Amino acid sequence: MIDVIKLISPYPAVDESGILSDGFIFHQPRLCQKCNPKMCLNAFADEPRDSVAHSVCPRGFSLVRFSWTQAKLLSNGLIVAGLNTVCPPFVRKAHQAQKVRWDEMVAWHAAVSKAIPVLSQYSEEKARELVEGLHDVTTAVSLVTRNAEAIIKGFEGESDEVKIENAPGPMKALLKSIELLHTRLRLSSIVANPASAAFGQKHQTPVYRVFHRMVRLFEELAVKRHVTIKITGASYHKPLCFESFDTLALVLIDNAVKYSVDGATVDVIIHDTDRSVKVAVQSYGPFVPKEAEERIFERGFRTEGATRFFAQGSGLGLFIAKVVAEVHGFEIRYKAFNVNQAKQEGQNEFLFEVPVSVLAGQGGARIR
Amino acid sequence: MGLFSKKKVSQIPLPGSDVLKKRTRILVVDDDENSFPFEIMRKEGYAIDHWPKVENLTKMEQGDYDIIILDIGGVAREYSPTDGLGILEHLKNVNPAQIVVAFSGQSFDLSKNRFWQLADDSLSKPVDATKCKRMLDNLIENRMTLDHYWGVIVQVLKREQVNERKIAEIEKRLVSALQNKNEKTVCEVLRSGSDKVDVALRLAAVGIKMAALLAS
Repeated sequence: MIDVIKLISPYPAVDESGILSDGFIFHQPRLCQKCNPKMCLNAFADEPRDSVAHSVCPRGFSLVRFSWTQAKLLSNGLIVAGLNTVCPPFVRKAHQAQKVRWDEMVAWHAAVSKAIPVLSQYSEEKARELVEGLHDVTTAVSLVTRNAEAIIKGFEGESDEVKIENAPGPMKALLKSIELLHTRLRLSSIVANPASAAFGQKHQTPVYRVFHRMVRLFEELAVKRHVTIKITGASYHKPLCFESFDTLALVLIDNAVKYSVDGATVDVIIHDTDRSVKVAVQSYGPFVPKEAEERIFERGFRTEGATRFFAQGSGLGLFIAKVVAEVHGFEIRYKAFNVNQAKQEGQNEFLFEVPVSVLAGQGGARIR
Repeated sequence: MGLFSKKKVSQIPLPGSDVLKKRTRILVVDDDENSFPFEIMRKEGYAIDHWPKVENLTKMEQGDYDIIILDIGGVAREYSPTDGLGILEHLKNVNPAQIVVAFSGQSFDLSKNRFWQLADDSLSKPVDATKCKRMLDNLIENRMTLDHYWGVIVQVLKREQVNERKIAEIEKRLVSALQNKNEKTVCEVLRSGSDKVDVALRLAAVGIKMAALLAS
């Protein structure tokens, strides 16, 4: 809903992650774009529903909090005539361009209030379209999978795994791509519906094997990026995991490859402890500054370094990793070391321990 | 029955997993014939039927199939506006021991969460043969056991407030009937667990599944 409101807002806005957006009439002033830390984020405190409230940020701009039952929007970088009496001298130049009338803002809020039921319906329709679109993609991928299986059948070997091993290189690459496609589709499901990370039964999962398979899926892509992936260690435990566990391996290896500098090595290190399987994924590239470490698992959050290094990211990978870790009862820790401040690079490590249930070693265990 | 007849359901030996795998009757209800690797799975020795939609609800209710792999959409619109979810809820109500696997590509759809949560296991489309085999073998090993079915019976009996003593007595008689491989007696023993017709029928349906596991 908030995305739609932003689209029809004439005013610039800032969201709770500090991401700025322009209005279709008023744009973000340069001062707000450069402002760091963004004190305006403190204005996201609870406010009464269906209201419009005015305050002034330390830089002298007006902050207008629009609140509806279903959404809230914080407009920044404006000077509300009559209400903003602070307006220090250094924003005077911006004053004329950013000047707005309070009665117009209140009228816009009221208009949006009336439009929200219609917008809700529109959002639902969009969601339905998305569901139908994803359904079509899934159907197409199923068809590709059946055809690939029919081709594999023709190769020599007793089991599917042996047959795939005996397949020619391009065929193997195609099969890997299909497997990657399956896992990426599951990833989209978790983004749209985090509860889906816990669907189905937990199965005994050979963690080393899951990561080994994922490393093999990414080998080709890594070569193209001049990155080497290595997996070391050993693991014989089989903790009980949901199917979504695969997506955790995908996200961490995908990120490590994506955010590695030329010539770097991604190390996946797996070891058993008495009660867990310990996994570390290390890579060398842009690191997460201390002040942003707490936020890297937030949905849509990206550090400036990450955005500079790889512009296309969505900030969803680590959010998915966190969701998957949560449904399995463990947490992922991040650590940066050997940091080179001048180059803004360092060694990144994501570490987690999958607990091994007592039942898992006894075979045939299941959890509802 | 010998002198040392066992008193616990869990102590009755079952056929090996290979025999169970061949004996397990699997039904896939899905309007998309490409979504499930039928050919490979049949070659692997699984007995699989495919219905593009619910063709015979009675067969599903009576437990003709050990495992039902059920799609959520476009399979049962003539039965319920909630389609596959409605069928799943109905099956779990009339035959609580029926193993149903949620099979859909719509795990991203929040409105369908109940479908996934109610099922015994799930297969999220697209699937490959390896994943299907792993899921089915796991269900055959862990769910198609006398112990699991007895667990379902105890749940139903406790819900009906049958006391522990009577449950123990039913188990003793059930063990005897199962050891004699007498399906009719198994059902009679279980039907005696409740005076309510619908509950008695539900218990008997589980009994049929138990007897089938031991059939030669």
